[in-house]
Amino acid sequence: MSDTPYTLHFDAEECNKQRVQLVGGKNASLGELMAAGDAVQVPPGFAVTTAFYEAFLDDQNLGEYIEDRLAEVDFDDDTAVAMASEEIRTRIQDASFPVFLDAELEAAWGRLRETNPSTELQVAVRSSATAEDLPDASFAGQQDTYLNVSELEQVKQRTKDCMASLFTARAITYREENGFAHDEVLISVGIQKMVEARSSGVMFTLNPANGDRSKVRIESNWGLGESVVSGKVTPDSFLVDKPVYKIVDRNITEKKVMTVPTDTGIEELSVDEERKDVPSLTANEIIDLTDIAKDIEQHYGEPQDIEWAIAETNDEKQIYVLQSRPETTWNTDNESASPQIDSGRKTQSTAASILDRLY
Amino acid sequence: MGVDDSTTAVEDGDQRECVERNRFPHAGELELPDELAGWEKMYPEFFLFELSDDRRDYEQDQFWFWDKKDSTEPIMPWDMTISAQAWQIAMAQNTSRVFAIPPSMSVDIRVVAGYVYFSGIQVTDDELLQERAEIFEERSEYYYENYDALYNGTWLPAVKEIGNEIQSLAVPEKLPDYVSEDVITEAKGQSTQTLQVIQNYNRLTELALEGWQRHFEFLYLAYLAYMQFTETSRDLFPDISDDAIGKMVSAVEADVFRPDQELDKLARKAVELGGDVPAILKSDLKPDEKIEQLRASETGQAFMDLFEEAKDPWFYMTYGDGFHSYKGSWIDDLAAPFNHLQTKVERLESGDSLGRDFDKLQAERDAIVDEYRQYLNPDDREQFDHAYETCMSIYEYAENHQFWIENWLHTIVFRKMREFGELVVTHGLLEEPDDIFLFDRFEVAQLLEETCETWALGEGAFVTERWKDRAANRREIFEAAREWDPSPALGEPPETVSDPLMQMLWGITTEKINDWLDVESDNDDESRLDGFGSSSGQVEGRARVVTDAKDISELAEDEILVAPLTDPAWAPVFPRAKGAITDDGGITSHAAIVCREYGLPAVTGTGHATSVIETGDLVRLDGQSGEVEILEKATQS
Repeated sequence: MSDTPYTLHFDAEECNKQRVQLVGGKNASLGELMAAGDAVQVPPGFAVTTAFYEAFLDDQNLGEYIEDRLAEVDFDDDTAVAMASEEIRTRIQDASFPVFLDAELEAAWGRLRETNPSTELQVAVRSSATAEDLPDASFAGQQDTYLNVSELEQVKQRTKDCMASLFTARAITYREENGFAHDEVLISVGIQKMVEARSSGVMFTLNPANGDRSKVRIESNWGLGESVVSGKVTPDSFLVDKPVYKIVDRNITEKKVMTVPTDTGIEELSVDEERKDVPSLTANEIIDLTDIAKDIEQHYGEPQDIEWAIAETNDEKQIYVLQSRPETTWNTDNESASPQIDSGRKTQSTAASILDRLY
Repeated sequence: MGVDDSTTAVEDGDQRECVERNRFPHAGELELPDELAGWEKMYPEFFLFELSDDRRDYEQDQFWFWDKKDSTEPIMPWDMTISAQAWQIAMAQNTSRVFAIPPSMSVDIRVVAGYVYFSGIQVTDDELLQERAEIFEERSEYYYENYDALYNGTWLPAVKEIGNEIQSLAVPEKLPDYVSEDVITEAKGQSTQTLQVIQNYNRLTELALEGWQRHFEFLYLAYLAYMQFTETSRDLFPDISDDAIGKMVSAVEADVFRPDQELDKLARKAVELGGDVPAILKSDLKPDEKIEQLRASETGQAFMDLFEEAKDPWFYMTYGDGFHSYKGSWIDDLAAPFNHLQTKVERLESGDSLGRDFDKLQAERDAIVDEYRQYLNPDDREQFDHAYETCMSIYEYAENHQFWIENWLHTIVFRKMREFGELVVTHGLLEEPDDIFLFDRFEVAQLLEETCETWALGEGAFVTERWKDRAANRREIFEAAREWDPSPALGEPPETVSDPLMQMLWGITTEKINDWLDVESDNDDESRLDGFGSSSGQVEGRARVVTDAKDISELAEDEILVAPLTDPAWAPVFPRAKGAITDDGGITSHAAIVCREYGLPAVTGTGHATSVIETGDLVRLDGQSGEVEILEKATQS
């Protein structure tokens, strides 16, 4: 065996965007976020690496089985592909992890439990594909996500379910049509603690209304972020001047609904009457979020669109970053990043510029 | 003064209905207390309202506001020489005929009982605007491009020369019983000394006016460069706060902060020298006694040598805003510097900071500027850098001139005037040297001439009591004027204030005028005040209302200073204050700048904080939003 790890926690230095082949795109981006600064924390968790996946397949001779099974398939026959897909996925889902991988997963799970021993650990298990950047990433596994997973046995099962998603009929067909070898496309799985969010939302590291990069626009609602992301509510919004941390604009809305977790997923609830008109963020939280936004933007070197959540239990409060993506509306290299100014004008003399503004 | 009952109908463009809008009283409608009767005779005719019917009609078409930015107190007749009189020529011509700032023609000035009122005269004619724009562009650009050379190479030496020449003007303590021998032997004529008195007084007034021409030389250009930077920032960073812009132009190394820095150095030296120096400085002895004790020991003498070195020019700091002869100057009354030294030595010994940490402020400023720049694309960054560099090179002038003119030069002028005052007293025409300031510039020329005439009449000649009587009468009027609370403005307010200089320097905005009108007519909610968020930070504390510079030492640790204005001479006590609230001053006023420079959270231009807030009230101020709240009154009324 090599030194390639079978699991890798998100706070590990090696979990970064250079290791997409090991941890997949999703896990790599979470690890990368952790490197943006001490204030930038993703919900704790770990990657079940592609090395784990390979070792699993290898140990159970699944690789050979898959190769043989697919060799029989007529790829023009959709029914045949579907049957092969079904059989392969069932084989993966039913196989057992070898003892050494089981131990590895248990150890990683144990470490995750330690991050917050007082409360019941609930995680999301999701696939983290190694080829997310390609135009149709579905050939590398569906973006399966299983929420509210709390038992180790269940974690193991969901991990296998995610791995099996590499062999959906659609993924098989795509690989076949585009000449990718089935045994060269790998998958990683992410096991991440679920945040019980008091408030969540998104933030843009620029003012989306005019592209002004000196501002952060924060949008927020009570509960999980889905209500904000989906546009189901008009969230509270805050505009912060980044260099001086001044909140230059705020709009506290009447927040009628919020998203909350359930055993099976999420649902929308009415917001309590007394909380509807209350700001879902405190001034200090807005400042902390601004710091986080600045760290992340600095780290990636371009404007970002960030999802975040605040977990608050008793005296403990933690801001988590769930995801960050490049902000695309204003973020183009060739155009002016501050488009409210006519581009192409020359820098004027002081006197001429004053005259323009005097009358 | 309340708002006049009369109202005027203003037509609302959209709703086509008549809205009653208050106006301020016209000058002729003001009801002055009886004790002020006769004040008109104290000031040059030009400055009186309603001199003639045609002038009254013109005046009533203009909006006049009390210039509280420069002084919240009435100005004595002679002191007008280096305020209103100097301004009327120097300030007005700077915009009208020197730099031709297109929309701002000039400022007309009037005086009511020593209080100065301004009225902006604007240019609206398109052809004239165009003509002026061309002149402005050429002339101002020359100054912007050559500021360093013009300021350091010409301006500062010229101002120093003016001050030095005034200091060198000879004023005899007494005219001689008989003229000196050389008048005979060198055939000089008959009364060189009396001629010299008259010549030197005339020269003093000429030089004072020349100094004031210099005062305005770069001033509006500096503010316009600041405005240009402000507007550029607002274009590039929409929603940026005034306070953030203020931070970017803070930490300016200006001469006006040097007196405080010199005191810091002296305090550190005192602690370093040790011996009995710190103990003497911390004692409650009078300045003279402290000096005497310090001179008695070797370490004390070493300290005094440094003290003497710092005095000229840095203790030429006027008490108050600089426009009042009667307030004096540090150099004549060392109480302030010694009080400050006492505080500073105490702070050093207990390990507290001395206040303005220039390096830290500068590092913070540079970090903020760098961050804003980083968010710009290369084209915009070039535009920003150009505006910023121009602003930063010339903006120091907005502070430097205040030391050299309002403090250094004024100290010299007032000191020299006192010498003339003493001469007049010696010859029996006045009781006190300072009474000379009760007469205007032209009257003093008459007074000195009469002094010479009286002298010429010979030993035992009749000496008139007229001037003494007049001085006594004027002293009473002036004291009554100090007690009087003038109207913040006169006449019909404009519906909107568009003059950029008016807004920036005096903080005269449409909201401000409406606020004045509201407060004057309706005093319901006195628990909240609005002003300019001039220096960021939110603080809460007990108020200390200080209306006279001499009382500034009453400010206790962690109190919030409430004052008509704050000026650099107060800076040494800022480390004790938690925040500052002023009646007057826009975002670029000295009051605002000095608070930013010392990192003191401040709300400026609240209009009437000193009358609404009382010492001991619990107040909260927000130096970003400009809000002030009185949380608890010290006395329940």
